[in-house]
Amino acid sequence: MNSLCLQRLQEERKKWRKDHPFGFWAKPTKKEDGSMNLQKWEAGIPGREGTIWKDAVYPITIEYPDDYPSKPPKVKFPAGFYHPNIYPSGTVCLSILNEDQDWKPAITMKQILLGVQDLLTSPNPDSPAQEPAWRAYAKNVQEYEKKVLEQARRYTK
Amino acid sequence: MDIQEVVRLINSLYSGSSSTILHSVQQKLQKIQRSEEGAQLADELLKLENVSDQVKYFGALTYRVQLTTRSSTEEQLWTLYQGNLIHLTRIIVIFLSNPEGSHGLNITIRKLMSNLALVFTNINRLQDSTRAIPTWPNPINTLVRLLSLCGQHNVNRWYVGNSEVSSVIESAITAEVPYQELIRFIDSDPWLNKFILAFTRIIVGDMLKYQSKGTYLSHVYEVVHDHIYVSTMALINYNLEAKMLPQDATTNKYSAELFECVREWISYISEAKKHSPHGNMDLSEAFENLIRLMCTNLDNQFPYSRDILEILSDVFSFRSSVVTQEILQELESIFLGVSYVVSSQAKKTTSLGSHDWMLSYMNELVTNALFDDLRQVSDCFVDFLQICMSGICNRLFTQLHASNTDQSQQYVKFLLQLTNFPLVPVLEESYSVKMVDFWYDLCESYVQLPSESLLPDSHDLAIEIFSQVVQIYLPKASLINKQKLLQADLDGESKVHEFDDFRRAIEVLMPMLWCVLGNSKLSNQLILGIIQKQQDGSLDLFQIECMAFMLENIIVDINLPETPSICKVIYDSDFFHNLLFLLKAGCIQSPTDISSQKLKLEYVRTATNLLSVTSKYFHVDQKDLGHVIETLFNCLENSRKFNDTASSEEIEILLIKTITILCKNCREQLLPFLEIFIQVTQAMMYHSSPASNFIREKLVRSIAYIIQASAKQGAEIQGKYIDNMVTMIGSSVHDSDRDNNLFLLTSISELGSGLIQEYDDPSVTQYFDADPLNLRPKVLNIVESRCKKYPTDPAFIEVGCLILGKTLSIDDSDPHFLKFSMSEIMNFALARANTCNLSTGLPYLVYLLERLITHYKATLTRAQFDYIFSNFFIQHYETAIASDPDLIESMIGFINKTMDARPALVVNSSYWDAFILPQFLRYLRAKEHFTISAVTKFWTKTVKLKQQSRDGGLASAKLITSIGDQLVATTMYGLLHTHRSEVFYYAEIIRALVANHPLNTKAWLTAVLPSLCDNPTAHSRLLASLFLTRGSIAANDTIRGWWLQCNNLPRMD
Repeated sequence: MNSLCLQRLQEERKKWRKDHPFGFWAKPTKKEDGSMNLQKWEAGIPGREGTIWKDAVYPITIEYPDDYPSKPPKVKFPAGFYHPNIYPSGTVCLSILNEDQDWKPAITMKQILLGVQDLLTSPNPDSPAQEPAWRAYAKNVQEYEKKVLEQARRYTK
Repeated sequence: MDIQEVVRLINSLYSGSSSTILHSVQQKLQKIQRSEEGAQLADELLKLENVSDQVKYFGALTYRVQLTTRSSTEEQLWTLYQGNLIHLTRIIVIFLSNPEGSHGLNITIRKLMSNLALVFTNINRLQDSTRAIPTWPNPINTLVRLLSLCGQHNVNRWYVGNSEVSSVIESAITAEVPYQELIRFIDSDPWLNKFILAFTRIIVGDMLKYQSKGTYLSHVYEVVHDHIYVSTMALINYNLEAKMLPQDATTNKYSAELFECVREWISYISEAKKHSPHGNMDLSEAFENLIRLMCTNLDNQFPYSRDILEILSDVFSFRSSVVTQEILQELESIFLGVSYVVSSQAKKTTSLGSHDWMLSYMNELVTNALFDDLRQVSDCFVDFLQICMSGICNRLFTQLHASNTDQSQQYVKFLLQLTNFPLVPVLEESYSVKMVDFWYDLCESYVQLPSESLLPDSHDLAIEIFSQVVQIYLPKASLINKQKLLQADLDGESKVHEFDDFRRAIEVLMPMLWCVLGNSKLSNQLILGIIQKQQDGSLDLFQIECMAFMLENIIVDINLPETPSICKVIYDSDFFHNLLFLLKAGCIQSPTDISSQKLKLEYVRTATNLLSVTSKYFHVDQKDLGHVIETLFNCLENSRKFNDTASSEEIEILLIKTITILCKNCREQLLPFLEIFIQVTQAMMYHSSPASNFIREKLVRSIAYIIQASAKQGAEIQGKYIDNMVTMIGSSVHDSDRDNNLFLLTSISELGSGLIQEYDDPSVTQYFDADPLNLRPKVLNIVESRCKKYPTDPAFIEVGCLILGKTLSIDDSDPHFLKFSMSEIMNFALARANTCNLSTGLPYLVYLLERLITHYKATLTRAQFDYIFSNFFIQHYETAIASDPDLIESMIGFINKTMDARPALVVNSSYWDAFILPQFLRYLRAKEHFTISAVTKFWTKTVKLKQQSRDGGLASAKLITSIGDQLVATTMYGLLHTHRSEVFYYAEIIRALVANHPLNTKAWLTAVLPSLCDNPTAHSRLLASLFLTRGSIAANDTIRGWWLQCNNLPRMD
């Protein structure tokens, strides 16, 4: 990891501990020797109240590349996560996480997690990433909502 | 230009007219502002008398518009420069003649100052010796000189065009104002003092904005450093020393402007340091003055403490580089009462403030319940500690600093006392909340210290300190404090949320402290806290909950069966008894009010989480296992009676998840309880049971885990259990309720998932392959009957496919009761395909077929593949698939899966030339994302066939010879007309073509590109780069560049 990346990740950690939205959590993972791995984080995103995503905290991993913050981190839900904009591998398809689209080095972890939380409740039909959820979202809302609620039970708080 | 008309328009702009009128007025005014007459208009408006403040402000604004649009020549700039200076001087003089009645002029004055800040930046940005306008070193001196001179003249003669004024201005631009003159000037009128403070603040504040936009300011930093900084420090320090007398605090007119000015200069210097060596400007004297003022105590009145703590807090959080070590040491002695004074500090004869001030101030805030102010002190204090972290850690634990033991003890004692602030956290005090981060960082820093640098007793000291931290935080994190918050009836839930965050922060702190304290000093102490009884023999629910809450995050990383020291403590105690006491309090006790209902949910969450993470303890001792299971079932059965609907639904999910984890982790240990599980499940299967289908399905999965372990008792016994379960599930639903029927199938699927097992006894596999109890026909019958009952409902097809395909991902040698034959699976799928609505049902059938192909890839024949492809795709192509992009994607996906499993099946299929190649070529022009994603994968795989085998190589070569030119042409057409986000997919095919067939591809590209669009530059660049680039990133970049150029789009990087 280059020093710029390390410095920025340490800053991100400090910022997150000082100020993070309620209900979210995020922590760096541990390496095998027990030391902290700042390049890979685990985090939880609460479903927004008043939506079918509520009552659950959805687990994600955030992996920062060596050339972060020039390049965006990769955010992943567990494989098979049900959402129109989440790839079957769990990778999140979001413009602020795309180097060619809206990624900017100034984007913070807090903004990313809030962006992903927003994506859960407001899928982008123009940027489909998996077929089952996208099809259900477009054609059969009842089935879509049922699957989301089932998934919420799996990740209940 | 009719000035009266303009004034009328400006007044109408601020009169609240309709948006249409406003828009039209705005258009007219903007046009004049930007015109050649703009500067003249600004001057006219600013010198008008008896007009509204808005009109004057509009004049200043017009100067701004002119500065940004019409200041490219020196003449233009000089006109605007002079105009702004003349009017700023005039308007301030007019203001001073009647301050009370001129309040509205403030906004115009500040706008003119901001305009001059821009002029200052622009003039000094580039060093140009040929320029007629001289460098402007110090706008403060200029304004001081002009205001002094204007006061001597008649303000009416102070107008643009007056040559006398013009020459005064010329000399004022480079004027030097000695210190005494500057002080006399600001002493002469409090308003002049305020305006000069405001001017210097605006100059550096605006520079920060320009810097953030990337403007090149290197030389401006130098000018500020050499000139304005000197004047400003004189101003700030004189004000802090002479004008902030404690007795005048309430009537002081300067404090707000002064503190704002100090704050802006701190921001400026901290930013400038990053961009220029001239950013290094010392603020020590200002900080010393600020600290002295902060520590002012006038009979328990602290007039400036709050404002200055706020400034310091901001410095410690974001701009610590502006504070010197000496200032930090001074603050350390004030905040903590102890300082490791260095020699230079020892020479100081006077102290800026004392620790007594800190204690008195906090005491005053506590006495008067000023909790917000108290929070601010804690913010500042902990931010201060954070920037001193490595120093504190070194002094406490290493030999790097010679330190006094008494001082260290006093230091730590104070920090612990603050953490243990005797009020309710979040509600009344924030020290403990903020200090969590400090202790985390201190512990982390200690753990990372190299062992050779440690003091001999540092480990003991660390254990002593961090054990006390644990003892302080456990009662702080107790839900009794959350109860107080809930009962405080606060507006909104933000404080409750803050408390939850606080608890979570402590939960994260505990594993860090564990690194020092280990199991004996932490894990076991928490367990002892759970089992501890009160003096009267009763149990403290809050204590059990808190200990359990903290313990979970530690135990989760520990392999209990391999940690006898913890197991022994659990074995010798009422650990599970008390944990279940907590669980029952949450599930089967009536809440007394809304707050207790919320707390009950927390009890359940904590108890079930800890039960889940300690489940492997039952591998070494099962004496409490029965009690645990019995209580979980009891709670599951009865929690609805004691909780509101929303809470009980959540409680049930937590309970069933815990049961499932216990069953998964302790399947062998739970075998003796299997009958009980079956009885409970049987009771819940009845339609009258209030249990949700989700709970029932998970219960079936839990039982399946235990049944899986019964294989050790013999395949017959396991088979019998499965048979009983299938029978029970099959007979549980007789009604026509759609959800109940679907639940029936889902339960079988869950049973099948729980029974996937690796078992090395071939007799078990033989038993299930032989299927003496006819389990497969029974299940197939149930599945078929439900799917026939709901032939078009995709949910039934989905679960049916899950059941039929359950074992397609396991080895043939592994036993399972759902190993259906290929013909059984095919018949099921064909029956569904003929009766379902393909648009919703086919994707599930494709999922099943893909698994089937993968499983039987070694033995599947070309004829069998053709049969599948024909019956599920070709037959339905015209009627359903061709018009539905989702089904097209499913069909291409199926081919891709088969290509991954065994490409020869596809390449040798009779549909390869007749259907797949022509249709899939056509799909390269598709507009739907999923079609593009799937079909580009297909073509990439196909082109790469060459690399896989000799047959593949032949097929690929044949293909390239026959349709290579079409493939290149269609791919480039599709690429040109696709969205930016899909360029990558087409790039993959091109890369594969270039890598595998470079010569042909180059010729085909050369031929086809001119016919796609008329952009020879882009085409030649593509051809030149594509065949030279190495690596996917460079190739993708080249292709994306071609796409951007041909679509006339700019590159964003």
